[in-house]
Amino acid sequence: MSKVKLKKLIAPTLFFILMIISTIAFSNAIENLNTDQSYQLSNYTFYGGLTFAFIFFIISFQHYQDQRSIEKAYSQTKIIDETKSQFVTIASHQLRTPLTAIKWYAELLLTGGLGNLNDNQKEYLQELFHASEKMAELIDALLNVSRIEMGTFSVNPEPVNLASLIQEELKELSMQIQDKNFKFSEKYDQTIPLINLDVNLTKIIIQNLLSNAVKYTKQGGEITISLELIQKSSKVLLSVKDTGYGIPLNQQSKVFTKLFRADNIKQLDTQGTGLGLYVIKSILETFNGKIWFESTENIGSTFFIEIPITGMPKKEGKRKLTPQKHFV
Amino acid sequence: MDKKTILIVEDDLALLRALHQKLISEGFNVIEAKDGKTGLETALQKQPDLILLDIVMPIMDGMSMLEELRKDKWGEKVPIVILTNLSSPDNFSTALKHKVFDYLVKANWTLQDVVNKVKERLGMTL
Repeated sequence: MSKVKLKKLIAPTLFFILMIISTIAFSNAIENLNTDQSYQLSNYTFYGGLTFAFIFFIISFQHYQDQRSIEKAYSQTKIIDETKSQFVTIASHQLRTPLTAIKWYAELLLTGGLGNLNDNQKEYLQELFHASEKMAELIDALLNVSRIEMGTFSVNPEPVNLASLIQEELKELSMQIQDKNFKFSEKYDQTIPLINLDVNLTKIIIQNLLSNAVKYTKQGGEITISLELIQKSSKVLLSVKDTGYGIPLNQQSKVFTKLFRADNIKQLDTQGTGLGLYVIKSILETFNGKIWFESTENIGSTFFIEIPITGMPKKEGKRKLTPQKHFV
Repeated sequence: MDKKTILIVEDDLALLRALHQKLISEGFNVIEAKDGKTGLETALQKQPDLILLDIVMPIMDGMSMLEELRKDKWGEKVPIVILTNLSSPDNFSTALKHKVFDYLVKANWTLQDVVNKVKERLGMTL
């Protein structure tokens, strides 16, 4: 038995001994009264005290054992979580290695270093290359999901200017915005203070939200971003409105479930992992943030995100969630 | 201008070959090692201009090689780009401590991206 475990038994044992001593002393004192009933009373006191001390000791010991089994179960859960987390890290490494070979060899062939290709060959290799990129993205997303579900990710808040972060992420999307000829408008409330947020996690939220709007809005559509301070509730509200395909009414309840992709999107587009909104919701829920939406099929969607200005609490963790490298 | 020499330390032969091919086509000299121990010996002996270093390898892993290399007077300063498929931040922070130029997850980068990183670090025009 370790020192810590012994320490936890010292208090009930001392109390047990003390009770026995006081029982003996008290029953002796009664016996010494030398009255008719004193001998009988002293016996009652002695045996009653002893029984009480034993019961107390047994209850304490039982409590100690319960504590021990709770601690044991907790440490076993921790070991299992760590093993699972290591498994996911190693599995993703093993999956990425052959995937890298597929991607790099497709690239080598496509860039013509090994001779000219006809149009069909080029097209098929492009398919292969894009599929490998999508698979890499899927592995990153699954890693993030597993880290969220196991709670092994860390949160390191620092003062963040939300408007600047959104603008930074928009720059990454500028090519796609230009290509699709979007009408684009942004509105940022200047009174929003710096908020303590983990930059990586906030980037993941913004990236997923913006990339959905860009991905699922047709050529020439409209995207409106607004960031405002809701004084009354001390929260910041970010809304991203698009004139995209929208989400069919009968599927709207599934939007935040893992791997969900709306039927109208599946027919049009092979991109997207179906994990983005689930990841956003899971991150927001760790610090009382919220996400909801309004959507009409063929008219568009608006996604709302509410962030408390108190920000995210710090959380220790062995892993980090990774923002996407190319997030569209 | 003299050709720059790149040491690739990589145990996966398919990836090693693809990297080799790409770097040669971009005008680099390429030397190879298939584990950390050989990588360390080759690096100290041949003194390349830059090292592309994998992490998960037999005999000696990339992080141990990095640690050993940084103890050497020449090895202390040689530019290193970690090229791995592990995205664990434990490795990431250790790598940063040893002043690596970048930490790239292979599956998320193209060969051209890797070459651009190498050129950027060596001050060559892209």
